[in-house]
Amino acid sequence: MKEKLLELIKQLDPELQELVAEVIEKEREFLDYLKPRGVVEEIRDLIDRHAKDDLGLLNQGGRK
Amino acid sequence: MSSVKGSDRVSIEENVHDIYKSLSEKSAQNPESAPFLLMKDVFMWAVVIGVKNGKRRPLTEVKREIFRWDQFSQDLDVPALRAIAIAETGDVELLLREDEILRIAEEFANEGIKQIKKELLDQPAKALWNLVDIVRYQQ
Amino acid sequence: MKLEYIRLINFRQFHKEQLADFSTADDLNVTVFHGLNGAGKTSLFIAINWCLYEEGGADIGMLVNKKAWAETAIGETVPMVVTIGFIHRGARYIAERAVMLKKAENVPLNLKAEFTLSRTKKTGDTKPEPNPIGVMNAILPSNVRPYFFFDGEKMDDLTKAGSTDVQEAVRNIMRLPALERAESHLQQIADEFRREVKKKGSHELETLITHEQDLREQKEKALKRREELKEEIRIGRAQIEDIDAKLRGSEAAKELQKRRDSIDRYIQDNEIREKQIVQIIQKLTNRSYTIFLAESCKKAFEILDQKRERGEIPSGIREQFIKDLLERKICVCGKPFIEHDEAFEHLRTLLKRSSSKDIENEVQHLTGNIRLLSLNTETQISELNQRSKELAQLKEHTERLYAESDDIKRQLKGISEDKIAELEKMRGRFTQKYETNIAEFGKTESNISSLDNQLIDIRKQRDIAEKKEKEIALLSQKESLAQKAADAVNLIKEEFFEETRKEIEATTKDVFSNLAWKQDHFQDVRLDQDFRLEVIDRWGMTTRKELSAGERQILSLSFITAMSKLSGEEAPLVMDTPFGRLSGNHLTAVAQNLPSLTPQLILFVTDREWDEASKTNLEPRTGQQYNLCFNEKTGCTEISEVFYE
Repeated sequence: MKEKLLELIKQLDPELQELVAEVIEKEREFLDYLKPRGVVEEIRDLIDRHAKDDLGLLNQGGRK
Repeated sequence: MSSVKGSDRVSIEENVHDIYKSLSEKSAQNPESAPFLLMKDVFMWAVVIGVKNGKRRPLTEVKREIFRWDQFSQDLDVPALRAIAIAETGDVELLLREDEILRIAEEFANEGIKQIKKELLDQPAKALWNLVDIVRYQQ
Repeated sequence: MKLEYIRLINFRQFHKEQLADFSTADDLNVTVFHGLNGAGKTSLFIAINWCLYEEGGADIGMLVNKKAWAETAIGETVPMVVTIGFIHRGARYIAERAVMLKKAENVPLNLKAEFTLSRTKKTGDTKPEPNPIGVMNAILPSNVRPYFFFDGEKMDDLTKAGSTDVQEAVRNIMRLPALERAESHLQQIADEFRREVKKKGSHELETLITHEQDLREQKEKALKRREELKEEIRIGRAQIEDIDAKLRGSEAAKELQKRRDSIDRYIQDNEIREKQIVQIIQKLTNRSYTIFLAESCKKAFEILDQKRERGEIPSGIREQFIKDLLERKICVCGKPFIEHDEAFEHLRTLLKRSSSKDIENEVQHLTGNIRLLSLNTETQISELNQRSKELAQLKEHTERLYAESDDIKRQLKGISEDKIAELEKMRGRFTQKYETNIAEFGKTESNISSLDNQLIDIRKQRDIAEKKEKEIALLSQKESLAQKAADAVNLIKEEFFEETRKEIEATTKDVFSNLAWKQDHFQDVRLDQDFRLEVIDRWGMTTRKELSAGERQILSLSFITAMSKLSGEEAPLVMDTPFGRLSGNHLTAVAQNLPSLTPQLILFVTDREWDEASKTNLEPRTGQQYNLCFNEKTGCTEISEVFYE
């Protein structure tokens, strides 16, 4: 079923694919490994990183 | 303050910083409106006015550091501050604790600066001449 | 994951140590444990769950073997351990849960419960995992486990009418909550960002930029005006010079003009001199503050003197001197003293009280300086008076010079020859204009200086505002990203749920068709939008309510195996009495097909279940067989391997 999920993710906007995949993976981690809190914080970090990348604010400069 | 490395600073309350500034800023170009050469000169005068009134007020508000200890002159300022501290507390041991001498001075200045403003800035004539009058009057 | 062996020590019916191996071969992938009811099948099943996940052992005290417990004296300890060895993705693991129970007044005290998971590396050395629970969950998540380690008693519940177990199962295994949470969290974050953007947005930067432009224009104007004034002043001076020259040239006015020229020079000199004196006065007043310290100095002086007199500061007496006296026990006057003598005590006190050399020096220093302070006052004051007088005189002089100059003006205006009068009038006008310009020039200069300061200020504010703008741009980007991601997950979620449903439906149907007795008249298996499992009969009606217990069990089994297949997890199917309600053809069909549906099958069955068709159907695929023998006398069970003839 994981493949199915990946397939569906690939159908999304390319700029969203990585973020969505990472978020879902994080949620699965938290679900499976019984970590009670902190997932929202980690998702915020993910969004932060992707947004800065989009705006070219990371030192690597520009899009990948 | 022979043992002081000059690394510490004198503090005043943030809300009187403007008074210090206007009395010493551009003192070379405008001696009449900014009679004090340096901020430390404003400070010394504020201290002695506080001493004259016999009142001192601890600093409570937001503080601001304005100049370093090493600005005080060895021949005049330092002995004056020491004499003031000893006269005020009666404790000769203070001679070894410069930071306490300074705290006492800061408190006197905190009180005296109010009168300085009144006498120098709130009067019609220019500050320098008001200051001269104060000296004259004391004689 | 494939289980390799299990070892029990004092667990439930199993006294001391009992071992069993699981078959891991691909073709002989079935391991069977059979025994009478109560012999310990369920205990073994619980042992697996308890060891790996601490499940099923609600009251630990009841888990310990009764015989071992009885044999333990009060105050002594008895261990209870379950160890399981398994392979997962090429690595070998050993999971062990061990408890030390202390017998205190016949009540078990749990001294220590520990779960360890060790991994054997390719090199052969075994290392314990620092996060055993985490790793265990990575191998097979705890919330997915019930669909692999399956309690046969519960199979019925799964597909009973009104049960939501199927839905729960699907959601758990497919991690649907992960998608739902992803969407909800992303939405939550997007909303947060949106609120922040609203709060922070402002037109500050625009206003600042407009203001700055305005200031720059003002400065331009002022600079221009300054240049104009410079020129006018220059011209004005030239005009006045011109007239002065003419006046100097005229016989009638020559003398007066000469006089005026010299007056102007004096006035200039005086003004310079005035400035100098003012600066001197400035310096003097700065230093005159000592005039207020007469009293303080007097008081300080007295205090210092007092201390010296009281001998608290040994003036001139060296510390060393006193120390010597004390050592030799001889007074200054030469008389010896003994310890605790009054004199001795006094000296000792002096020594203690007398501060170090530092104070001595400082005091001497200060006393000297205090004297100088009063001297300073005198000198400053007297010079101040002097200079003040000087200044006053100078000003007075300048006044007189101005008066004289005015007088000359009047005189010149009175002279009619050589057009002197007109010239003088003109001069007057020029001078007035000149002085006005000078004044304006001064104002313009200070205006420019003030504008410069304002521009610096605005620049600072602009930098702050620009930084804020960037912050807002970033926030906006984050909000947009979060919202788009939330919307995307929403889309995926719907589709994924639907795809999942379809696949589970298809796989369940597939397995069901294999396990069900062909004679049953079912047409289709459906998993509807609410994740309810239905069997459709040949007349197109849902049959679930009318399914027999056996049929329902098969449906459940089909669903379970379908789930385990689709979950993507690699784990064995461990089932406790799975054939309870099956008989006859149903049992045959299931027994025949079940082993193919999973990489490893471990069964705990009653003797009856084993004896029936299952034996013929399962034995060909069975790699390990055990019988659980219950010993009436000891009350314990032994695991004994069954060998084939």
